[in-house]
Amino acid sequence: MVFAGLFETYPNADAYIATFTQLLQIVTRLEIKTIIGEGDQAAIFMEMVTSAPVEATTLVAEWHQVRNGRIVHARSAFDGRPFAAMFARPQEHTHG
Amino acid sequence: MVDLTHQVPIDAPAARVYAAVTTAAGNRGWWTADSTVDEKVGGSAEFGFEKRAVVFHMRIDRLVPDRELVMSCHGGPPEWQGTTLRWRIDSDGKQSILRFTHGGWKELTDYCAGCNSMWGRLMYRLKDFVEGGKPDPQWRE
Repeated sequence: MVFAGLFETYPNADAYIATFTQLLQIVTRLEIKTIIGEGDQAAIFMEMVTSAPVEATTLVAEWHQVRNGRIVHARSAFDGRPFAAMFARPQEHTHG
Repeated sequence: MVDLTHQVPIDAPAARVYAAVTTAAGNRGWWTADSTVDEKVGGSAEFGFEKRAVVFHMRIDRLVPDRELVMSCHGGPPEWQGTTLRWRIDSDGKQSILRFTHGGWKELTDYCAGCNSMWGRLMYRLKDFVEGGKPDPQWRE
């Protein structure tokens, strides 16, 4: 399973879940607004309410591709500007 | 596209230089202690930093024993996505020339320039490790 987020891409479910678990620390509510399915893919629209780094309600769209009942690829889209600082890496944090 | 290119002479045979970039133990000697490498074409390699706050997920695309390694990035920082690390070794049997290219950057950003500086530093750490044989990775966790 590959998850392509706005700031990072995770090549497997474990890597994604590890980061998603951390993200949940700043998420106070996730409200699914609608799920649109077509064949082996689905679009999910949800409102994400966060407490940090800004108190905000952000509309998140996710495009899921499914094979044999399992999500094999997911891509997320939302206005990430309030959250960019969380993922910014100062220049000295390069690793190669 | 932007390619970052480096080159260092190393007083060691090609086989030792090759081992330093193609094996987990080798990469643990100069780059990061959190290195895993499945040493075959199509195999995966992972390089973790700062307790895996950052992980580069790589795939080995080409291996030519004692001569060349090409890896491509398939997970990690977005700027790294799709970029390739190419190590090429020229040797006269005693001294080697290690040529390195981190290629395929979409644009020359501040982050990219910072990585270029870091690669320069790492090249000399790699050289010291191969010549001296004592592991001393830039990142220890």
